Amino acid sequence: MNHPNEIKLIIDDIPVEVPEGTSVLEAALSVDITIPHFCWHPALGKAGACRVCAVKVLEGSPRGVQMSCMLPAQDGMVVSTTDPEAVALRKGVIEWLMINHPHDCPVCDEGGECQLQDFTIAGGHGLRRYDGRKRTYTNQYLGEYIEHEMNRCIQCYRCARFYQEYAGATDFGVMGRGNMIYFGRQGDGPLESPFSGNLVDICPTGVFTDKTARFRARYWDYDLAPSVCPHCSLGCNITPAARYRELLKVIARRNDSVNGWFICDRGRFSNGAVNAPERPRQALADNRPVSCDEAMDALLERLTEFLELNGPASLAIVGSPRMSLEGNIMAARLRELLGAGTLSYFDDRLQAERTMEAASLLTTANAASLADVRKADLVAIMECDLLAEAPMMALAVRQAWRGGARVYVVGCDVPFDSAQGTKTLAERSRSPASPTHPGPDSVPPDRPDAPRTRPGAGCPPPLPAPGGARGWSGSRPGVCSRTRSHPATPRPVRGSATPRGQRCPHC
Amino acid sequence: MEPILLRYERAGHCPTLDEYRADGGFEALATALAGMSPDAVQQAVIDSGLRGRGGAGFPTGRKWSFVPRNLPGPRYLICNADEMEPGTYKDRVLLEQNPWPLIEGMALACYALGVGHAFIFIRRGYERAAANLRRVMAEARRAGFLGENILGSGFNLELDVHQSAGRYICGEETALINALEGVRANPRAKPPFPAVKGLWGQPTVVNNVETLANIPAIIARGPAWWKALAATPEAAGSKLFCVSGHVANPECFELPLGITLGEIIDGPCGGMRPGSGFKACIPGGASTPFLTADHWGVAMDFDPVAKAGSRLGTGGIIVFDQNTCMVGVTLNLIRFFARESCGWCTPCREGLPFVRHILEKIENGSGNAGDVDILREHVHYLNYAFCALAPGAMGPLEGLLRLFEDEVREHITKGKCPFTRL
Repeated sequence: MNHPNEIKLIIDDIPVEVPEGTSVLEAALSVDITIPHFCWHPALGKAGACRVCAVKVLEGSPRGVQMSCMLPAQDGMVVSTTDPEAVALRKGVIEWLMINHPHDCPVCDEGGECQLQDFTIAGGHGLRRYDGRKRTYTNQYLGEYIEHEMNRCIQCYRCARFYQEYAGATDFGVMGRGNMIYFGRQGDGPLESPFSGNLVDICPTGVFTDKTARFRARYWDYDLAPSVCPHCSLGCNITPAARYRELLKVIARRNDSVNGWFICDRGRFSNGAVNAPERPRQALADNRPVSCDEAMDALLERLTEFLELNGPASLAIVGSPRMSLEGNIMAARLRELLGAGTLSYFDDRLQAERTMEAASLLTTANAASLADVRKADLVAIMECDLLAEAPMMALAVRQAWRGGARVYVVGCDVPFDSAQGTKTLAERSRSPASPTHPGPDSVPPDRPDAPRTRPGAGCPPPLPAPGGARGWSGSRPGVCSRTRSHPATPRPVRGSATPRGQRCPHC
Repeated sequence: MEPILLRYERAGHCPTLDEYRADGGFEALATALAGMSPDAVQQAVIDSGLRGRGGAGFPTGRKWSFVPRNLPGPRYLICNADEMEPGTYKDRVLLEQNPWPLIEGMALACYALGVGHAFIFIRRGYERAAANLRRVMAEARRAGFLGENILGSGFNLELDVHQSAGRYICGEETALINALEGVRANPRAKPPFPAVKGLWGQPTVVNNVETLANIPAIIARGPAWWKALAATPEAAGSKLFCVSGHVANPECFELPLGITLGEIIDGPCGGMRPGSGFKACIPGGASTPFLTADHWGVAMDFDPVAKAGSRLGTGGIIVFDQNTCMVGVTLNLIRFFARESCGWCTPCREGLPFVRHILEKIENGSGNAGDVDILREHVHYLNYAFCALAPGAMGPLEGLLRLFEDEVREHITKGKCPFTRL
């Protein structure tokens, strides 16, 4: 990329070129110089809270020891990350962070993939000088998916910033003050955000761990494979983690042009079907267990026989919108090879026609990636309950909205806060099913208790925006102002025109 | 020196509007609205040499000049009445005994800055002061000194009192702005400074109560006259000194800036209590390093006190006699700061409780020689905190280690506090 304002600076004798507005921390990371950091996260930006990313500015302004995440890179700057003064401060900060840390790595699921472990070892902190009592907390029940262990917390604020600012939910945050601040909910209860699982990934230590995979394996035990999430059509990048041929958990895999750093909870926690005992694990031919090769040979034989008898026009190859992209491409290829008469992806003619229509509008020039959506200045959502159909798209729209984009929701049954990804799980599960929107109930059966894929969670009636949400503006369009200002409406309805089942009477 | 702010001082009595006006009250506002441009008011404040009375001592006129001109949208003035610095109670005295100059000063400041809506952010504990302020503001509004078209000049000013939920960190101007917006009172990153991007993202000036209350006198009688109130040519104006501790007469006095420490204690304070001898004092609220008898002749002005290794701060003087354990004093202050940390950054959140723990050990007689080094490290490293709370908290500790290291070491070698606790 060509940046008009390229900044040239020197970090640890390495010349670095970065676009204007880059922090020294990011500049250092761009040339693989690691500066310890906890509160800074590429998706969340700087906070200046942990104070562990100290570097020394040798030339440039301001000089001396500075926090590299808060310091914009400037032309001609000379920065040292190994200066004894900066190293000593970083060591001191780690010592502070470890004062109250329980050192329970042997029984912590984060052990082995813990940023705090890495930076503590790297920072050279070995001996605790503090000899007083440690601070302790009571943990909360945060639902079936996430384990809470507050004693391990190093107060980097990543969780609260992600949950409230990035994902727009309000039921979890920071409370208290001083060294007794607490990251949790007002009381026990499942986290309401449909993106809550990202707390597991974003926490630099073991405060939030994946309850579904608790005590099952260490990081080095896992079989990991870069994959793409099969639960909707967005194609978020994931890393499934398996052990002993059992899928234990799913981790978000960074892809800046698709999902960024995060995935939704459906993608993360709906993996029960993979391990279901009913799943065929053995190839069968005529109900007789055979090897895969034998089964394929048998299939080829039967197909050839069928084609000879009936001709290729009688053969239909059936894919599915729930199948992986690779699988569907293979289906098309198979049809080509066999010359089959029909290739079908849908069980419903209307759905097929609509999809064809939508796909015909897409060209390589106008197709927008999720990254494009996050940076968009205007988003129009047509007849689509994003949070139900493609949750990460809702999160992307929210990022656009946070950046000042105008967001239009077209369609009377679509709740506006769904487009923002801020409709909470509690609100969704209170809502009855909508007959017009099947919702995600056609998703393969997951855990029977998985609330996010339960039938009918699709299209709830409009509800007022979550109380206390920052940045909500009643003037954001979703319906016309005439609808909104209807005198008979007891209170302004955000986003959607009227309670479900009614149509706007104004035009 | 004739008192300016506390001239009506009568116990339990706040002057009425008529009393204030009979004494020249609101004449400065009338003069400014009738014949001075906003720039002229600002220039008068710059010329007066008025420095912020809230602790940092930043020149007020310069702070005002950082507000961008001709920027569209509203701008705000906030009066910081969140007085929580231990040992400081001058703003409470002013708000309870004579809030009129504050109201007039805020009107003048808003006129100079082009502000249409100003706030007084007052500490939760100051119930009486807030009630008094509300009463006085209603009176001023009825008389046409607040509200729309003030004194027929076309200048409008809305003034609101916000009683905070009450935390020390709310005295930090960006945390105060967050608290006023209704979010967690964590300080914001600077830059951008509030003068550019403050309350609701708009240019905002945050000034202390006493700072704003001084403005009417500057406008009414001229910056040169006001500047000459001080005791030294370098200093400017008068200052409220609120004294507590082992002096005969601990009260709030209005004195010329630049008066020496000795003159304050021997003069209005009436010397030390009978049987007490001066050992040390905190010159300007809990976050300032100690001054000792060696500093008896130090002029109580921003620069001379800084030269003496401390800060003038708020002018909240706490005096200690020879029987006071300075480790105990510091521990008491550090306990306050550790409790009041907002918890945002690591040095403050974790470092202050660590310091508190070590001071507790030393005071209880279980300290060891290495602890002094740990304390010294903290004095240095807490400067790298996010805001000024932790560096301020290190003020008394730095003073303790610089001036009273022998006393600290005596605790450690004797294995107990050498002072009898009363």
